[in-house]
Parts: sequence; structure tokens; C-alpha cells
Amino acid sequence: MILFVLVFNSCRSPFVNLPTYNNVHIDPYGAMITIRYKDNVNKSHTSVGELISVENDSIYVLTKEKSSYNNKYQESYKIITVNQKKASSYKVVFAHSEPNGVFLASGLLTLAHGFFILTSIPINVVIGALVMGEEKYLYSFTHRQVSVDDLFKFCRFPSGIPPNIDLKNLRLRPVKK
Amino acid sequence: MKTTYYLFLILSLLVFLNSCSTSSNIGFKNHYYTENELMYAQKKDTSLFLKAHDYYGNVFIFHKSWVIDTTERIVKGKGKLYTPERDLLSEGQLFVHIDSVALFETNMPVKKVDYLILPKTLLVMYNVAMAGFCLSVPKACFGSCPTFYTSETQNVFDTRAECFSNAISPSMEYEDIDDLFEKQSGCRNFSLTMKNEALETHMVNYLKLHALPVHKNEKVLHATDNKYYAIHREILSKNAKTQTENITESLRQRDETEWTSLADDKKLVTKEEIILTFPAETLANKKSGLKLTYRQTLLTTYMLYHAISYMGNEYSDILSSLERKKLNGANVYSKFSEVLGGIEVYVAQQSGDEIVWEHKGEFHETGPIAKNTQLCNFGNLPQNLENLVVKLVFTKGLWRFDEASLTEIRDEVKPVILEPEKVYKNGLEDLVGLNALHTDQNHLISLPGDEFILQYKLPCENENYQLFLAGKGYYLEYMRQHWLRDKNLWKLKKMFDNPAKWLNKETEVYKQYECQMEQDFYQSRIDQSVKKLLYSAN
Repeated sequence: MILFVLVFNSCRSPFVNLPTYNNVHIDPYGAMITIRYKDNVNKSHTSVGELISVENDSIYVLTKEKSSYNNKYQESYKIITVNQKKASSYKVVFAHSEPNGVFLASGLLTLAHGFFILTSIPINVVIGALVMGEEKYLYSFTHRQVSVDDLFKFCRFPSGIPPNIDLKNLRLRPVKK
Repeated sequence: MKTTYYLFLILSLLVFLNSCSTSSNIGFKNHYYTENELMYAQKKDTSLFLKAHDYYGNVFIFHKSWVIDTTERIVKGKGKLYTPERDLLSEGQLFVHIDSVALFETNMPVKKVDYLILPKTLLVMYNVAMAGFCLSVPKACFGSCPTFYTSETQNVFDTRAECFSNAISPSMEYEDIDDLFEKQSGCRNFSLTMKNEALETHMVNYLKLHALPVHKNEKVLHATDNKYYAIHREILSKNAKTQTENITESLRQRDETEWTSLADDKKLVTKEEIILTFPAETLANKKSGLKLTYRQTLLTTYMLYHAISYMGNEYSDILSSLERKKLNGANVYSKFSEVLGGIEVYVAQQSGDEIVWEHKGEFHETGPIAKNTQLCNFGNLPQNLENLVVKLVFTKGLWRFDEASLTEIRDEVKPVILEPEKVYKNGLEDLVGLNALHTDQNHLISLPGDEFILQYKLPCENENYQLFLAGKGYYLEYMRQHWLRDKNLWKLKKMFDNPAKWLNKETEVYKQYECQMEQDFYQSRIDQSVKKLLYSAN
């Protein structure tokens, strides 16, 4: 059961700060992007964050970093600027599906499966993890499907970063608890 | 096994097939730089949501009822205004000057993507159906009796032994001997794990290890006459058949392929036969016997749980009454045992032109979990024997058969009987338990979830020993809440008075569950790699 709960919990999207699919049309934030790119010394990086803007051959991504100071964890936000030509791939997720209560609750029914729990738990864990893993990317696209020229549509500032903005003040969408 | 495997495969495949697909349709969003373009878009679709991004990074999100006022050059409607940091600045009736807008963005609600609905639905259906089945027939899904494991095997389907499955009250206590299928070098410690994986209290009088000295190329088998014999040669059957099918392949070796039949449609006590033909030329005039690997189906479990559910809330009263009146519970059980019977073994003898079937013994070991391998001693076979024909007679749908072979018997072997030297209960040394196993008056008590490790020291006299477990005790099955409503003392009386009649009347009900029970039980014999998961049904 512990394994079961862990696996299902682990399926919670890392992009928790996304709207559900039925709210994406009234959402003021940008989509979440996972982008692979090379820096000036050709070292590869992968960053995950909110798509802020695409302009002047650069992609701006707002990321959250965790650091420890005096044994206390602190979160800080950072804008990463990726040269479009140095971006090797990306995946953009703009919404997530609503949690399916019936599907999750049915997993608990395995407790009533008696001997057959030996069959039921692996089936539930494997299928559940695969399904929920897939659900994270139901509302997404990759660099193969949408070109970098169209990425601006999913930015917080599709018309470019306004000049008056202090980028240090930008925050990711608060996670609903 | 197969059905579950295919279900598993299909579900996995459906998920994997979709694993590369994403929702690349981004047509729900459109962007416009002028109000004219926006007006044109609105004319085409009046249900659009509008986001107006101004030059300062603010965003106005208008719900469906927004309008463009070209005279005042504003867009107005109900909505929300967010700052560049996306703090909510204002909500309600809003307006924005067109000249301050850098970009208009129209949105349509995103359609639900549900290509995962099929695997999800199938999984939900499987979980609900299985839970429904187990709750309606709990007798089929929950285990019984203490189960034993060696160090390498720790789950219910690798059980090496299950002890005293018939003993559901103190007076029914008996000794049960099981082959642990372990060959160990002498002078070593041997550990055995005993688990209580059911809703029962197990009262264990003793757990003795029978260590049988065994030579190279030799095996020892426990026989139906309760003796041990060393065997050294096995001959597979040329032919094994029932009235309707050839089952030679199924009985070739001890493996996952068992053969069983379904119970009779009209009478549960109907008998059937297996005829085995062995090439016996090389065994002429030699001592031989039938080695059989078998276990029960869930029929007896079904019957036992029915008896308990008929007792309802008087279950403990009736059991204690049986004990007090010294109306030995074993007598009640033996009535059932007589009706259902064991696996009777006959050997064909030629008497003139006729074939006479000579009764040689009977295999009988209760329990649907652990397989039993036993020997039926035939004694010396006659000279000039080309083929030996053996007949097994048993109740249809009561037994599962895994392996049958003719063996040459060398000698009777006497066991070295070993008591446990140490007992650990749930990881801690248990001196009380050890003492209980060493004294006849006391019992080691095992409650649901308990796990005992028993340590034995093997003797040094011989190089190798084959190990058997002799366990004596009884168990008390717990009444389940949902069984109470099945209380029916009249049916209980009928069941005890005339088990054969009760069984035959129960045929129709049992047949409804049988296929599912058998199928699911067999399906649950899954691949070892995934069986490491805890058996935590109870």
C-alpha cells in the first residue's frame, strides 16, 4: 500500500502551477516549458519554468531555484535567457487534466481483492503510473509540433517584455494547496 | 494467468501507444495587433474569451460578453485585471483603451483530451469487478492456515507448506507433514519463516523438522502410509487421460502447469478418473510407487467458510459447544471428508481376460495453497510387466494435479526429528514461543500479521538431508461482519446431517463462482519478479 500511494503521489505533475484544461483560456500566466539548450561554452542544460517571452532571438524562462542558507531552504526566482539557436529541444505544457477521483478511488478497492492483490497491485501501480505519467502531457506540444516562432502565444508577455518591468519581481503561479 | 497477462499487456500497450501523442492543436489561441482584426474575429465567433496585453505588462481578461467601442476606442466587459506580476488588480466591469493594448489574444475553452479514458476505464472496471467478486464471495479471496517459507521465498504463492488446514477447533488438532522441497548440507543452521496471513488465530503445538539423510541422485518422499522412502528413478507416463482429454503434458513435471477439472454441473460429489500408463519393463520385480504432486481447489475453502457463515453470531458458541460435549469436530469434518474423499489410487491387474483394479492407497492433503508431493507405495511389481496402468479416482473439481510419475523405491528411511532451537517473533527472540513448541500442553499463538522465524540445527552425521515439516496444531477462523447476515442454523444442521445432500444442493451456487474462483486463483500465479510485493490482503 505504501508503494501504491508513493507511486500515485509521484505521478503528480511537476508542473503543478498550471491551470486545469478548462481554465486555461482565462489564465494570466505563461505555459510551463522544459527546454534543453547549450550555453556559450557548449555545455548542455535543461531548465524548467514559465515561458515569459520570446523575442530578439531569445527565449525567456522564469525558473525557481532552491538553495540552503544557514540550514534553511530558500526559494529564489531567476530568469534564464536561452538563445533560440542554442535550444536543442523543448516541451511546453499549458494545462493539466482534472484529477479523476473515480480512477484514484478504484485503486483503493485493491484492498478488497484478497489473494488477488498480488495481481492487482502490480497492475494498478504499472497502469496507474503510466496513465498518470501520460496525463501530465495531455495538454502539451514539443519543438517538433510547434515552432519557436509560435511559442510567443504561450508566453506571459506574448508581445515582448515591457520595458518598465523589473524581472526580479516576477513569480511563478502560486501552487494551490 | 493468461487472461490477467493479456489484460495487463493490452492496458500497457494502450498507454504506450499513446505515449508519444500530445495535444499539438494550439488553434484555441489567436493573436491580433489591431482592433479591426479583433472585430472580424469576434464576428466569426462571439463566444471568444479575450486577453488584452497592454504595453505595461498588465493583462485584462474579458469573459464572453466583451464589446469593442470604436467611438471611444475602448474594449469593455466583465473580467479581471492582473499586474505584470500577475497580482489581481481589479475584477468586475472593466475597460481598456485600445491604444494602450500591445496585443489582443482570443481564447476558446480547451476541449478535453481523453485518449486515456480506455485504459482508465478498464482498470476501474477490473478493480470494481474484482472487489465486488471478493466481497460477494470472500471465501474465495482470503487465505487460511499458517503458511511456511524458506529464506528465498516469501510470498503466498511460493508457500512451501501449509499446516493443519482442517483443524478449525482444538479437538480437530492433528499432525500434518509437508515436503519443504529443500535439500540441505548437514551441520548447518536452517531457518523457516511461518506467517499468519489470514484473519485467524493459529495455535501451534509443535513444528518439528524431519531431516531425511539423502544420497546423491536420490530423493526422499513422504508416502501415503506416513513413512518416508528413498527413490532414485522416475518414469514419466506414456499417456495420461481423463474421459474427455489427454493431459500427458500437464503432468510431466512440477511446474506452473496444473491440470484441474471443473466441478460437475449437477452434483458436486460426482467422481471422475485419470488413467495413467507407464512403461514398466525396467521396473519389473522391483519396488515402485506413484509420485504425485497435487493440491486442492477452493471447493473445501468454500465449504468451510459456508459452514462458519451459517453459524452466524453463534459461531463461537457452536464451536465451544462441540468442544464441551466432546462431540469431536473432526467427526463432523470426517463426514465431509468421506463424501468428497481423497485421490484413490488403483493399479490394473490382469485376471484372465478381465482387468481388475486393485486399490493401492489414497492421497489426501487439505489446502489450496501449497502443493504436496507424496508417494503411494505399490510394493513389488510383477515380472514380465510391459506397461503399468494406474487409475486415480477423485471428486470432480476438487483437486489440481501438477506431476505424476512412476518411481523406483529403494528403502524406507527414518527421519531425524529436530525441534527448533530458536524462535523469533516479528524480529525479536521469543523464548515463550520456543518453550510452547517444546512442551505438549502449550501452544505458540500466532495472530494475524505475525511472522515467526524458526531456527533449526541440522545434524552432522550425513552429508545431505532432505527436509520435511511436521506441524501440529489448530486455528480459529475469525467471523467476518458480512458473513453474519448469512446465518442459517437450519442449513447448518442440514449440512452437518447430510453433507452429500447439502453439497449437491449447493451445486448451482458453487458453479456460479467456480470459474471465476479457479480462473482468478490461477491468474494470480504471476511472474516472480512482481510477486515480491507484500501479501497484505488482511
